[in-house]
Amino acid sequence: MSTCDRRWEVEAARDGRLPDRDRGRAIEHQSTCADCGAERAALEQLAEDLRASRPSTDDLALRRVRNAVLARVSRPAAPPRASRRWVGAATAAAMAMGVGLAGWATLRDPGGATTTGPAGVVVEALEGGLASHVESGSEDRVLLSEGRFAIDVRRAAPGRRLVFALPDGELEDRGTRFEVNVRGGRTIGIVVHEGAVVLRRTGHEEVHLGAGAVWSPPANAPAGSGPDTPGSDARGADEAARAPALPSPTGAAPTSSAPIAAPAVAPPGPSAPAPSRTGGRSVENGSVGSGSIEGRSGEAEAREAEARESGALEDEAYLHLVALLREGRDEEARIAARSYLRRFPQGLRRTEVAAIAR
Amino acid sequence: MSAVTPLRPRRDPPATDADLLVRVAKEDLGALGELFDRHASEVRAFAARLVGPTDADDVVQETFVRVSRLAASFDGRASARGWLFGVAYHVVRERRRAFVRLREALRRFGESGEASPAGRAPEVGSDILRALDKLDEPKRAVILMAEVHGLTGAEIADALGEPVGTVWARLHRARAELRETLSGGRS
Repeated sequence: MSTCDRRWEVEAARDGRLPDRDRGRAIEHQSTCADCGAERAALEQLAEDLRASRPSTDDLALRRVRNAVLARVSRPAAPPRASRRWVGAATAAAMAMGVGLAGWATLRDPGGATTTGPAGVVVEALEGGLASHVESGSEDRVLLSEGRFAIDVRRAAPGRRLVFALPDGELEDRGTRFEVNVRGGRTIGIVVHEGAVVLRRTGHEEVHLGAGAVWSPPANAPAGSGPDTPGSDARGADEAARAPALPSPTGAAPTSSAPIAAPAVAPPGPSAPAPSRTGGRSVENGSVGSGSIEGRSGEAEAREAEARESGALEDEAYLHLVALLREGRDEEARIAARSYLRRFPQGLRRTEVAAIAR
Repeated sequence: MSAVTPLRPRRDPPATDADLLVRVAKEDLGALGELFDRHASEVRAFAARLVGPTDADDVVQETFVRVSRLAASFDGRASARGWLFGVAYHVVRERRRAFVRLREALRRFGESGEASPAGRAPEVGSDILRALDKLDEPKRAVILMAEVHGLTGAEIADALGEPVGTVWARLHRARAELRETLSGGRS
């Protein structure tokens, strides 16, 4: 069988290499030339086979990766200068978000209003609440831009992701009932009544809050470590003092001794879970009230175990030591290798790393 | 409590990738999350065919972490798909180079270095996957971008930072090698 000398045009037309006029002619020719028609069919079959080989997507794994990405990116930057930039950017973004929302916000009721959010979610705006709900693809984003909110996720819509966007980060819900206080572009308080949430603030490590947790930002954040700079802290504390307090996790009425907004550890309500270790602790990323200790430790440990399982931490440690090797910092690489072996005694790359550690 | 006010869904056109990347450049964590939700699945599919499913998640993670640093350099085109594939491809290349360097280092330490998982994990599966495995990485990347993810030659060239002529040539050779492998396997 002879080969058509215009056969090359089939692939050229497919790849967009031909000018429009020539492409039209080539396609016309293919409809009458058996050789070129067969070539076109073969290329289409090849493409079809490639598309059909699409690997399956593991949604759970992808979610773990997402969490790892956001945790890595939100980690405070080492150089203070970078952190200051982050503060500026976060503040600007928060302000921009506030301005943007003002035009279309669906709720602002200084007297307090009950409102419904996405299906199965009740967002109750308390004093000065300003919130919006944005549907996008398979995601519901509830933007909490200013004020105090009581949120009850009764039934998350199947197949839809629910995110509570804050001016300075986001809050991931894990089937829960909680309250959030946002003032002046900062998240200044969270109380978790049931379930758990993960708070991710820009420039900070993520915080896992279990049932009974009361979170508030740190009173004396190190300079340049995100929005909680001494200057903004003073402002935050001042705002916190003015802001209405959230009730305790048990639903007890707010008291002056347990203001969510105050940058201090809030005591549990009368029937709050007893602290399991201490009465509360201050973490780098804010103060977590006493009821949170169990939730925080259990959740955090579970997530750390999960991350370890996913290999993300191991991979990060491994890439770090590879980078050191690449830069010729052999001694540091050796130290990093020993650290890797201590952390991941069953790590996938332990054989290679052991050779470096020696 | 006063009146009940429904929180109405907002049905504005969704933010473009370019909008999101502008926000990511301003260190907006939410925008990065949104970008991830939009494209991570496809980036993972691309990475899985390049490095195998085992390492694909690591590549996706590194890609999006890097996106947070590179967002300011995005050129503003509406869709970031091609650009993201480009970032992922560079992550894959760097990982491979790192492993090659490590293997060399291990040889110096007197080890065999055979356990390196730098390359694509051997794929057990269909003929097409085995044929794909035999392509070198640059050819595999362009054929995947073109035939699986629907990028044009120009978009691939942009993503990889290569001349479009090089992309077309690689595409042609990739198809030829795939067909040759497949016809050999079937005969």
